[in-house]
Amino acid sequence: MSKTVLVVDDSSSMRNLVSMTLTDDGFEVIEACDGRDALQKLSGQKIHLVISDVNMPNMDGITFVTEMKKLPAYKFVPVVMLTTEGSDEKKKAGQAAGAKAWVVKPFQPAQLLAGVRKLLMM
Amino acid sequence: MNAKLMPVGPGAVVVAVIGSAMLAATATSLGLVHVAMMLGLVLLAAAASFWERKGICATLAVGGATAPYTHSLHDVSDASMTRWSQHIDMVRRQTETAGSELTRDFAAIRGQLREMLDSVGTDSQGGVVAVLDNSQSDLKGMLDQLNKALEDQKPMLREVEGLVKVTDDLKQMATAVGDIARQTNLLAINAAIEAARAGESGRGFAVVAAEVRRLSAESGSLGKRIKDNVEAVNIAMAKTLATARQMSAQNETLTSTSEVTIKAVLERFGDVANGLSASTQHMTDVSEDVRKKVGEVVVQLQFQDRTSQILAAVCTDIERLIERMRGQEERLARGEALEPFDVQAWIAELEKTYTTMEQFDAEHPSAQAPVESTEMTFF
Repeated sequence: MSKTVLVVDDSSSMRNLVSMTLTDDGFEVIEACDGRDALQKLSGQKIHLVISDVNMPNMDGITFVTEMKKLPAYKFVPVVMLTTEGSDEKKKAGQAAGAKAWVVKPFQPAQLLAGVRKLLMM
Repeated sequence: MNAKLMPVGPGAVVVAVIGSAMLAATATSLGLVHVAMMLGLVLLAAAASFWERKGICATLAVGGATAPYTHSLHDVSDASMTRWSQHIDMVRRQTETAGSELTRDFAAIRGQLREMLDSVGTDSQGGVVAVLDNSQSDLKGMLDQLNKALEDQKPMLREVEGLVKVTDDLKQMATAVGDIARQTNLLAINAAIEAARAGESGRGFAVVAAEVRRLSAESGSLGKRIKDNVEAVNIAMAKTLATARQMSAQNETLTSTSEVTIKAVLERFGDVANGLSASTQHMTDVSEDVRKKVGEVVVQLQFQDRTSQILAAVCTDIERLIERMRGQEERLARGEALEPFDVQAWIAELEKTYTTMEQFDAEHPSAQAPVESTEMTFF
């Protein structure tokens, strides 16, 4: 059974590239354009992992992860932050929100997949 | 009022802001059109700064007749910067739309390419190679069985040859029986003669001699029949042996010819299999090469996200500058003193909106290099 990944990014091209990378490797992908949209997409969906941008309109990635972790069904879903931000300050904020990994864009497909597989213990 | 005019005008701030953005943007693989546009913006900003400084000089020279100039400067800056902001945002959105289409098309092409490589690649060709390998194995097995059948025929031939020898012995034995019968007949004739010579006393012996003679005649007849039958068997055996030898020779020839033919077919199979194997390896190499290139293209296609964020920061800052100038305009209208710009504070505020490292390092040579991907950090 394939794993489902929620990809959250306000850039549709980034969503396309991440989705392509994941689906090529056999993952199912659900896309959301910001944190608020992602929370709505979560409802009732079985999600195995989240890849989220940080800077997004309506609701940023850090807030989204914080809110998602409050939901019992998604409390232990691993989160990868995929962002142009690379400062330690932002990384600490992501870690505090509950993210398990941090990738600075641009991402390498092979590296992203390796990280995702590691987090999903595949 | 002249002494309270801005020591560094808005044009200078715009130069600083847009110049910084342009360097950042060029560092992220923007197209030439975008770079040209950014350069145009910088030139416009530089011109504004120049005329602003000229205005300040003129103000110093002619005293209090600065209001019309200041108003017009603010108006033109407001109008220009509003348009610059709109245009930058338009470029950002157009780039985003094009980037999105590009990545979607790229994903579709990548999918088709992958499908094609899979269909003509390792699986199908590997299957053919496997079939050829199996065929080679089957044909070799058949050849072995033919050779075994040939070997198995040899003992049978030896047995038949042995039987022929036995029938020869039987023939000699039948001849010997005939000879013994003839000898016995001669003895019986002699006995009959001697019995006749003995007269009345030899009459009983004559009866025995006649009986012995009759038995020798039967023995001779039996011996002849045995000899005839043995000869018939011998002829049949000889024919069977000849046929068996002929068949064996034909089988040997057939096996030999089959061996040569099968070897030739196997060699052709081997050539085809080797060719296919090489082709499969080539396809595997091509597939791996394509995979690497796709990875590189995926990295490069992410420029849009970076440039979008950089341009968004520029738009935000231009809008902030417009707001600031409108505030100054209102102060001017109320006859209040204008607040000078604090460039350091302004830039510090701008830097808060930066989302990429190259925005901070825009003037550093490293920012001109292509942006490299980094390792994933695990918490």
